[in-house]
Amino acid sequence: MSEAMTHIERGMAALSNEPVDRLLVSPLSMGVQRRLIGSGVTYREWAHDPKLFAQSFVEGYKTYGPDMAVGLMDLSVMAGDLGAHVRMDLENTPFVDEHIIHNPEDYEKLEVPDIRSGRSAVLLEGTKGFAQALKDDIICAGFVEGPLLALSQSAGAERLFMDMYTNPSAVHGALEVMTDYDAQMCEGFGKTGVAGLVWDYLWGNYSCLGDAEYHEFEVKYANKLNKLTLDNGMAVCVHNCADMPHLKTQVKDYKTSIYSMAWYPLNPDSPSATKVIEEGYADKCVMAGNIDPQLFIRGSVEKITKVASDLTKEVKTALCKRGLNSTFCISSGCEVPPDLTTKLENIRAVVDTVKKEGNLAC
Amino acid sequence: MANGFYEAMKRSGFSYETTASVKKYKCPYCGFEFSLVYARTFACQGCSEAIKGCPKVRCDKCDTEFFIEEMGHVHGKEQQRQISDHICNIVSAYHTDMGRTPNR
Repeated sequence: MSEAMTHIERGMAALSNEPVDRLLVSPLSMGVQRRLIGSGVTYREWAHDPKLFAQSFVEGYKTYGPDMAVGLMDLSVMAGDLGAHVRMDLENTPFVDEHIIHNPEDYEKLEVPDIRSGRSAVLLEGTKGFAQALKDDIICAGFVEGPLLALSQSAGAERLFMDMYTNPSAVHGALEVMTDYDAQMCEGFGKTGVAGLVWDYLWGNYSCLGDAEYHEFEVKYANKLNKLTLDNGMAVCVHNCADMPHLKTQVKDYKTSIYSMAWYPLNPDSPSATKVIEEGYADKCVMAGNIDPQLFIRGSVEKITKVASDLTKEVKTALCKRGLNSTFCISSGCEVPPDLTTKLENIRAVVDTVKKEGNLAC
Repeated sequence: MANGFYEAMKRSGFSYETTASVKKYKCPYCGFEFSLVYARTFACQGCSEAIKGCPKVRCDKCDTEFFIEEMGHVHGKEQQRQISDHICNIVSAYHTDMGRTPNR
């Protein structure tokens, strides 16, 4: 399908709210793209081999032609390298099944690991691989856990929340270490060639933490990391699949360039694409979302095509009403499940629908 | 309980029970917003039932006690049992790790 603008032209125009030929589109398809490599690559292999990791994004670009590539591996990379036991099934997303914090003193024992080894190194090297291959074609971004998320993976969310109430100084000490770890990762990503760095600030969620709590336990650390991101030549991007995200903080206060989010229609407080645009969050930030990732497994091609089409119409209407040109990227609300049963044709259906119907003419 | 948000948190490495334990709920009597973890940390401190499978939650502000099932994001007795067993194990382990008798 030939288009009037290249992916890079379109992406740069959207970041400046300039007119575009069509809306950006980029489902968050990462691990699932290992199935495009063609040699029966398992998830476990993909998450440990930087060459396979990089190749999956190259194949994804060649197959679907999205406007962006985001190098998310999974959310247990940092916790695993800190010493937490990570369960690595053959074909499922890894997760922490043995935490490393069992009392307040354990927070003091945390040390930044060597990012040249472990899965941190795989992530950095793999990101460099796809960035070098694709950076002239599409917007490439790295992906890393924010400090509070990484600490909650290492300690267990319940224990961390209890310690936030009863041992806040111990938690803050650990968050300083996590921030140092994230800072090293940030500097590492800066050398890969990516244009942006996506921070997963998952706990910025009003259904779990209020403003005061979130500001105390993440914002001051995130501010440091966001500044470092810019200093290392990358745009600040955020992903948060919260049901009630701290949008004012994470979009406006962080001065985020691209904000990836989800929508949960059963929760009346979960903001839809229309609400997000009407409330001004897309004025200076490219908002991305919000197709239900489960549709890529459970939905038919017809169903997901209709959802993508309806979302495209909704976004075009809202952008026009707000007087905006291009600041929304049709995407999935969270990672397209890397399961073997995920329908790859659904990824193509979303991309093709937006390419066909995403032209903006107010 | 298994709506899209819970699925997303599961994919992020947090079980249904963990998500339900840290999600905030508004007390229907006084409007105070708190999570089950918060309630068990403060309002239930010292209660021996807190580690014996108690199916209730107590508001730390107005001290009203009600069943976990009445929290908006927990549905039915079976989920209530899952959550209460989960949080009781968490609280028990937390206190044991600190060298304290769990029901103190």
